[in-house]
Amino acid sequence: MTVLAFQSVSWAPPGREQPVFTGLDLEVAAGELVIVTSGLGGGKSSALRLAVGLEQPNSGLVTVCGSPPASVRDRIGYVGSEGALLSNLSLYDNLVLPLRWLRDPPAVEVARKAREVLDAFALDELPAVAPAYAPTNLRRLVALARAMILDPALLLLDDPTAEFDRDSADELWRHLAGLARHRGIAVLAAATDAPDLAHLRVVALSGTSVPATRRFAPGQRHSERLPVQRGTPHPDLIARTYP
Amino acid sequence: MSFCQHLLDSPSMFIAATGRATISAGSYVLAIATLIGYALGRLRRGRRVVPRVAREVVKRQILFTGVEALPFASLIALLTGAVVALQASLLSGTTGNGELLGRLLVTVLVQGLGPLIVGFIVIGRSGAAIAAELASMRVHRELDSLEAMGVDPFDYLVVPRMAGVVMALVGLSTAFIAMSLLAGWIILQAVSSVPQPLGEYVAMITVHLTAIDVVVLLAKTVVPGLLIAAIACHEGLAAATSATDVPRAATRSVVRSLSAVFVWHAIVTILVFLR
Repeated sequence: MTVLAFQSVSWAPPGREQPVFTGLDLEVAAGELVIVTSGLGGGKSSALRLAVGLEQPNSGLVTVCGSPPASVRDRIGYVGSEGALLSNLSLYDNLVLPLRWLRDPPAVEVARKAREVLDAFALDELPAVAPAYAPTNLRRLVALARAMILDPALLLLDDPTAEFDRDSADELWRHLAGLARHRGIAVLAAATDAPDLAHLRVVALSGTSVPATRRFAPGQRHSERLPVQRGTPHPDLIARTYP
Repeated sequence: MSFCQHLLDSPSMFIAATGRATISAGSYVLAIATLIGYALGRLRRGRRVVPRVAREVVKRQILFTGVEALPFASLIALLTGAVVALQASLLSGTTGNGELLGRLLVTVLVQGLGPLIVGFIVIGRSGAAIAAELASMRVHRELDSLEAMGVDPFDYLVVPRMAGVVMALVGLSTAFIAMSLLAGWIILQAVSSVPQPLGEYVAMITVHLTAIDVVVLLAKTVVPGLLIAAIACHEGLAAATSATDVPRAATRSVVRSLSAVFVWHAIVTILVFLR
């Protein structure tokens, strides 16, 4: 069953005429992990922001479970590039915020659900500290767990392994693929490089062209099977990134 | 050529600049009024539909703006009360013209300095902090994160802060006035040749405390509370996404809140005078 659908989507940042990508067609089904890759400024994070309704396409249509993303946010778990835990809440309060805000269940139910998602990422009791005082990889895992707390149909992950070493990153990718498969969640992740995973679908955004889509068999080296076209970043973006 | 000479030589430029500044100020006032109106509209939804987590934000705001500011506000209240009582006793005579002394203390501390000084304290502590906090959240994309989770940033961040600041400002002003009046009694005992029992002093104050004083006190705390919180939230949420915009948002919030609170106090005072 298709959970996320991009239909001929074009998108350009506000104030820019040249689109980052055009004619993007992409479907992500329940239980599937799809990775979208691109170079710097190639639009992989923007594709995720379109999928959660934080950006609107210039043309085309984005739907989640057949509806506009902004109207079904309780069915979407989103983790931005920095995790974006709220700095003024403890790790635990961050974890349970969407549950308490949208459903406001009794405290016992909140604690049970928190334990369930922490277990899903093999996390013990969270230290009672603000995110700034926690290790970066713990922050990332808490952000992932928070995205799972409403039992989403769609999980959107922007560079989820950025804070991990190679082995841990591979382990996390395998874990995410398992979560998608066993819980029937559609997962769309953005990454600079696709991991070595069996039966992985990788979508390479290449500037303003239609993306190249590949499905790979297990055992092949990533470098052999992913001729990713790098989009040319906009000069403004380069200037902001490397002042 | 001096600047004034330049203005005299080109009056059209001066008029145009004045017009632009007036339009800009008018637009800003309209934006703040709209923000306050929208927040009050959201508050009207009532207790049952506001999640408990939002009420926790209100409690934290009251704790930070009201309770944690109490030690500093108490110090300023004691000093202000002592100074005002000394000045009032000089005007009324140390032997005790209770009529004038009571009226002076109530007018100056309850209607004038009390809510104004507490407004300054709240602007410096909480207004700047709220603006910096929200601007920092914007820089770190926490607002996007909230929105993506289905948590309305306005309902979660703005409305509870406005409610908390208003309640804290009313409570802190009341405590400030009570402490400054008490300090006034203590200093009067020290300088007066005829000691006045505390009961008599309280009676003298309450005799001069009218319904108008209470209305003015509420007007000078509730509305400034809304203004301070609204301006702080507006500046914080309107910040750009660079780290250097965080201190700018805090500074703008302080300067604009001071202007707004001064103007509001002047308006209320003039209305009371014209009554």
